[in-house]
Amino acid sequence: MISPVINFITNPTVGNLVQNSVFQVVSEGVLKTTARPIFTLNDKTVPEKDRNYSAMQQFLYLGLCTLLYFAMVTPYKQAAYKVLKKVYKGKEGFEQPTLKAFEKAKNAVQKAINEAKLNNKLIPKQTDYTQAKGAMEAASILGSGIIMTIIAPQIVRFTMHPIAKYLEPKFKKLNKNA
Amino acid sequence: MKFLATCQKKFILLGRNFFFQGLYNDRPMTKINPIITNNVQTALKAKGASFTEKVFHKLGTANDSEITTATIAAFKLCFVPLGIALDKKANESQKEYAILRNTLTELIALTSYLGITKIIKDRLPNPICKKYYADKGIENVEMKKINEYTKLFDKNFNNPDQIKVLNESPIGKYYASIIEKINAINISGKFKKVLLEPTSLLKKSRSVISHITVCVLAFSFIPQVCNLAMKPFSDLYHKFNKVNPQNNKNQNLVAFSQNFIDKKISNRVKNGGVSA
Repeated sequence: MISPVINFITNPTVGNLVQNSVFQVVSEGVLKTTARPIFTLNDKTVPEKDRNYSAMQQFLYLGLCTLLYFAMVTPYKQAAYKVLKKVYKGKEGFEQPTLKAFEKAKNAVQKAINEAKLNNKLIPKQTDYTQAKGAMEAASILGSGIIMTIIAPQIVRFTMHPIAKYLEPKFKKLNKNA
Repeated sequence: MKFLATCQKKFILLGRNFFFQGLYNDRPMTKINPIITNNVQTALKAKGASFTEKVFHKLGTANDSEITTATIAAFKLCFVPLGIALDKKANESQKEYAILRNTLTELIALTSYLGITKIIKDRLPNPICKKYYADKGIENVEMKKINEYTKLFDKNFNNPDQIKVLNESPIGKYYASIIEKINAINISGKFKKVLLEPTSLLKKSRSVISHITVCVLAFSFIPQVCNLAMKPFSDLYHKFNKVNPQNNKNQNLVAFSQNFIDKKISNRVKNGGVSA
């Protein structure tokens, strides 16, 4: 029972995936979208009307924001890489022309290090991508905050009420069953 | 007068050391780590990297989930209530409840992401990494020493001289001995996958544990705690608002709380708890 858990936690692929800020935001967003409205509907201390509005508002807000974030994050990251490349001109790790090439080069370096370790070879001098990766992650975290709370809600505000009208009867049914 | 001035200085120093331990380098060392010699500690106190470099190094080596989620929670704490307040189609009481609930949720989220996740990710990875190496044939790896080495290495990542001092210390030598064992297993080809070195294994397992914790907190803990704390929080808010007689929203708030109290009394009467 314990060893599969340990294998999962120490798995390098899972470790790399979990350190990606986009994966972190999307997985947390999906969980929030499902859990928060359910718990709000179960809060019996407030009138049903307010509960319904709050639950629906949370569901739509979180769900649409997560979807919009997923759609916006790649162009944002590409733009962020261009800006960071200009800011940190000449610094190690920012030599690649595009974000795709940057990701490829970063993964290739890791692969080369792993292979050298496996074959007991000396690790050749590689480009250190730690600072560049950290800068990209910092930009991504800041961007996720801006997209999720400033840009996406502006779009969500226009789409929320028409969708809410359609969803309201369903929430009422859920509320009565709860 | 001089005596008073020196007394004042000493008092300020005492208070500063008491309340902000760790922020000042000149504070008296109360506890010396037995693993690292004094020599190493003084060498490692030298000025390191700039703030941005430190942040980028931290995010580049281990971007844990709680940093991202706490940042988003902080953003939401500021902007979501503002967004709800601007919603013209909802009525006052609906808006008020939604704002209170969202504020409370994000407050709980922010504190629990930073607090609970840190407690768990500091304690769990060590036994897990120890078990990982034990399964691969390296018994009794002292993860406390590895943890200490990782911390010191990260503090001085951009200074080769300090890294050299660290590598020559007992803790550095212990780390090297573990690396030797790992390399020997990797070369033997006993396992298909490369065995991870202790620092990266520790960081990766920490990230996975922190993400699992964040997911559990987001899915079950935060909304549940929010449900429990909502009533006292809204009561406190209404109590605070009632004190201010010039508040325009006061009438709505009073009506809202009155409605709430009436409903509660009628429920009690129905259950037979209190006679009308």
